[in-house]
Amino acid sequence: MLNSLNAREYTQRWKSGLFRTPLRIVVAVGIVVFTVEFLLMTLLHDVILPLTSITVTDRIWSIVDAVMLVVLVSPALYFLVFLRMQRDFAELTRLFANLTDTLMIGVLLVDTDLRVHRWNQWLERKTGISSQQACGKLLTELFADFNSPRLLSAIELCIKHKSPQLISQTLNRYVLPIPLVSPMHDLKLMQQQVSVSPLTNSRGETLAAISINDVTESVAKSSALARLAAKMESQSNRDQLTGAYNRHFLWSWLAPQLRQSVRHSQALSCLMLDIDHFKRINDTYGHDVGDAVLRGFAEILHEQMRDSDILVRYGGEEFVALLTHADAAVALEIASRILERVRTTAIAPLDVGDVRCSIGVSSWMPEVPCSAEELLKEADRRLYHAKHNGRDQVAMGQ
Amino acid sequence: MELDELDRDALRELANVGLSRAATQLSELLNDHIEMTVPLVQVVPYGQVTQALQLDSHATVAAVWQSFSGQSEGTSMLMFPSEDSKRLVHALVGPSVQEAGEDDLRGIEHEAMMEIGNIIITSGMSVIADMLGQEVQMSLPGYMEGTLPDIMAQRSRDNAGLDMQAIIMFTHLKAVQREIEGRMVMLMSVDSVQVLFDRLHKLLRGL
Amino acid sequence: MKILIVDDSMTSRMLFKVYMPKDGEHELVEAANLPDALEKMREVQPDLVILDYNMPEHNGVEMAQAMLGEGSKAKFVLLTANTQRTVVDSALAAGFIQVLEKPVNAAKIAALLAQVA
Repeated sequence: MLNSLNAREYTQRWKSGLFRTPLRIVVAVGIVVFTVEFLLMTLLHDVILPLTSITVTDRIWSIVDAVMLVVLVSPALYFLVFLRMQRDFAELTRLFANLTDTLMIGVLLVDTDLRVHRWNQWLERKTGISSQQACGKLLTELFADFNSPRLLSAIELCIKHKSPQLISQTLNRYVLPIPLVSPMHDLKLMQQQVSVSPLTNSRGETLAAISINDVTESVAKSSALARLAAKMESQSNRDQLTGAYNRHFLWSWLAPQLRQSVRHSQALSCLMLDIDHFKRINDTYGHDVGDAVLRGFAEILHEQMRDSDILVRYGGEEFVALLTHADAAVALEIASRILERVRTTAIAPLDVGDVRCSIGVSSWMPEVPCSAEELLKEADRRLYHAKHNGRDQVAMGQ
Repeated sequence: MELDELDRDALRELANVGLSRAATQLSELLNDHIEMTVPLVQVVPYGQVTQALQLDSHATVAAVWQSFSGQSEGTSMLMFPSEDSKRLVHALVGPSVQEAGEDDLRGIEHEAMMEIGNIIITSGMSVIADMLGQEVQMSLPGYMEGTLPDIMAQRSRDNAGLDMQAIIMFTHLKAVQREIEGRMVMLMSVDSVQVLFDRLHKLLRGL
Repeated sequence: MKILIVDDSMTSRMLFKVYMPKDGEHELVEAANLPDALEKMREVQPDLVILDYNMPEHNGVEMAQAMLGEGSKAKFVLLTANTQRTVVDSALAAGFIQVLEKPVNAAKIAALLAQVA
């Protein structure tokens, strides 16, 4: 039974003084028992027996001696039982030590002064601080940028009032500054859900058992989901492929914009653009190429437009560009530039000149006001005109 | 509930000190001055708490509790009407709350309220320990949001609490700068109020 | 030292009495409201007055002002469970030398008396 506890562990336990008290007890009991027996024997043999007329044979004496010997030896037996209990205790301790090391959470034990008493493997892995290095030091010594007053007050409350404390990620983010191996989104430090529980030892001292859960992933996930939701919200106004606005947005934007133009006496122009023979491109090269062309086309348009202008994907290959503070002349200028760019740019994956477009231009002026529908209809008529005249051109009203 | 004058007085003082502690904690959390009304205190059998509280039985309430055991046994429960607790949480969590989705918001409120409730209950219970000389061990906090009857039903299932007594402490709090106000109920169900005050009696009668 | 404690809560006054050092060096007098307190002040001329903050008709600070008006040479201490920064600051500003946090215990009272003496 002794070899279950290896020599090193025994030496460790011996050094830690674990055996001291039981050993003392055993020795003391042994001495007392021996002394009592000795006195008893002597008394019996030399004093009492002669006073009585009982004769005791040698054999009986042998038996009595044997019994006395057994009683004398009994403390040694108790010591052996104690060693057996030590083995069981060692196994139990090992099991628990393994338990805190098996858990996928950080476990540490601190006292009221914030001195570390225990530090589990998870913490060793995540912080790079070994258990040897950590034990005996203050938390503030182990982490130079430690800054969690809530942890300090939680430890104090926990130890003083023996009440478990929760430290949520929501209100506190983290308690121990542990950098993430791979930063997620805008998070650089591990996000932690922490609880602090009181643990009282046999001497009546209370320590705080702190358990740290890594919740970084779920925090990152939920904020990613939130961002996605926000994005989708904005996408209900946008055409996903090209990034231009969609028809839905056009109508909600245009009417108020026209009212503003009336108020400020500003001109507003409309370009209706159509990619020439787009169906042919789709049929010849496939829809993926068609999509790429649409994207490339929209990019060129965006480049030529100013910040206050709006680009809308009006149909399959049709776009509407609304130019604010632009009269007919400015609109024509911009349309011509677009035409030129489209002719001379290679819109991937096609070559230069493979893609052409037709543009119809209409303008709204304070002197000749019209409704939103009319503005677009006019641009449409001009576009038709351009197409009819051979494409790859700009057509404007008289 | 046969309590003599001294016990009633002690109860009022207990509520005053306990809720003042809670207000102090909240003031530190919110970094704001908290005003509170003089607490109303009542002792009723556990089964009658719902009526005694006079809260709309359809209104939702956020409840945080911690059980305690030792010289006295029972549960300490803190209740805030839902709108008040939401406002409190949003004040503490700050603008990042706007970004959260519906489900996450509930999770955020849940987590935050558990911690806030935990802090307040701990400080309130420490008053019991200090004033009444009762050393108790506390459990981890629990949280539930629902109507008052639902919460009481759930708690008595966990508690076998129907023959317990309940001490109700009610106050109205106001965070001055942030302009948040709310009602707070501290409910302590205890095997016996007499037992709770036992030590106090011994202490005071030893005069 | 003669000490006057003013608190509407019987429990609070009794607790104070229980935790006071029993060395016979201090005399403790009680009052439950302002008129009572003023009367005791004239009678006993206490060295130290301990006032509860939360009283039904006047709060502790108002009472101190009324009592100071009597021309007392006593030192004033505020007794309260509400130790918010704002409360403590206003008490000290009003002339209280110290704030004693409820609930009281032997250690807190001993420390207070040592400080005041």
